[in-house]
Amino acid sequence: MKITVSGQDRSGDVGQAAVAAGARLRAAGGIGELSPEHSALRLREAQDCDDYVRRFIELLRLRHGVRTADYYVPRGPGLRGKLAVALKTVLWKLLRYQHDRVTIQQNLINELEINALEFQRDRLNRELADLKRRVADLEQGRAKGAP
Amino acid sequence: MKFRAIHQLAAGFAAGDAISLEAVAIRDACRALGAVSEIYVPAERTARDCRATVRPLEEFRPAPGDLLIYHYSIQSAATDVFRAAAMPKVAIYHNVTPASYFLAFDEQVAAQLEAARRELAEVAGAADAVWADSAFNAAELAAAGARNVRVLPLLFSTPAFDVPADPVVRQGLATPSRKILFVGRLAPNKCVEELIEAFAWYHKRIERRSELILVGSERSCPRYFAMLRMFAAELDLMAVSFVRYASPAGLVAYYEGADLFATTSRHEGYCLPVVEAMFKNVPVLARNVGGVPEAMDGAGVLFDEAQPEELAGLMHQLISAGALREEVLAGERARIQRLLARPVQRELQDLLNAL
Repeated sequence: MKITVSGQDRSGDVGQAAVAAGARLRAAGGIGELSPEHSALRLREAQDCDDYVRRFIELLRLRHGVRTADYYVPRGPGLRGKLAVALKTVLWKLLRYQHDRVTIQQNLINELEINALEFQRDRLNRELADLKRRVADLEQGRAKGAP
Repeated sequence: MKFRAIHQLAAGFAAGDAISLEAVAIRDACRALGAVSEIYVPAERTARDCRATVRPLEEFRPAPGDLLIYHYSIQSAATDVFRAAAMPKVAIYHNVTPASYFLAFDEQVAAQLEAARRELAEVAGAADAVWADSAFNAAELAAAGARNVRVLPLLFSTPAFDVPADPVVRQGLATPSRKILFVGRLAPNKCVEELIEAFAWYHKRIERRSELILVGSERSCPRYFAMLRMFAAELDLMAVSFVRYASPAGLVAYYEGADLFATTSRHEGYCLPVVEAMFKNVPVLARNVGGVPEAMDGAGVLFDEAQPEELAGLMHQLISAGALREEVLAGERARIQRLLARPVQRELQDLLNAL
């Protein structure tokens, strides 16, 4: 890893330290939950804007659910920090009774909206294909000298 | 002064945009030299809050004894005006982003960039002189066939950063978490996703109390922005903020509140935000590409290629108080001193006298 610090090549110390830190982090496990084939970064491979939209809707389908899993609560220092974390954890568990109901409704709305997007895209694609066919027919007719 | 008036053309104008800042700096320098000077921009490409600073392109009237300077970076209506103007002309090349970065996200912008690359030689040929804002850009111009290219490094306007920080933004940043800042357009060539991934490693495995703040407009490529948001959500990163607009005072607050400025951009003609960060005493970590080393001018930290987890390790070294951080900050202060000592008016006058 080539590193330049203030104009000097520091690959030997700063770069090596970063490589070692990277190896330690990798050994501790990954950071993402989705497999690379379902990653948003696949959008970079789209061939054009139509392909982008198609891929985007596919990826959206995998992501319509609102997460309700426990999440990391930032920990402050000292006894106050510990108490705050304990309180937040308990509050979160209590809130989930109400929160999960709302989440289920939201997930349903999200899924229906994705359906609406797909239905609209399919309808537009069919209309576009029909229009293209009709324009081609008209152009063919004109080329043959039809009035 | 050789010219009574020195006017400029630009494809667009927005607060905080590097080309817009340079146009203002050149206009102020020309006025200080005694010339009448205005900036003309297509009205529809002028940000609403900047309309008092510039004049609509349609109002531009060429006069034979005046000088016209064109900031060239993308295909624009201003190109036709520049080509048609019968008067002494200078083209300043700010680089054209390779269209390939935009193909997946916006075919129209990709086509504009492609056209801008095709027209580059023609625009340079229509000018009496060609300037570039970095040696990197000058080399691209030379490769396109331009001759006698002069380098006028991008001007840095300190008054924009001498305003007090926005108190609301500053208050929002007054948390004990480590803050990594990126400033720039959210465009595909900036490869912000690589920064987000590196930050994810830093945030999840090194320092939970940390934030990544991305300050920049998404308007140039909304589909790329959608990808970034989806990617941040996929990594379950609540600590990534997208700040799509910052006033000059707000931008000052973001720089002042940052522990590190980082960019993983893969294509830059110069990269003014690294200079801005140095001016605000923030350590800079940037990829060694294009005109970035010139903007860094021997300061900050440059990396060639790195895995995201290695970048996270590097971020940690730079954010932690220690000898490396102090060394980097000292180098950046020296770079800013060199920059402030730059005789901008004389440089400009020399270039104008050479016409």
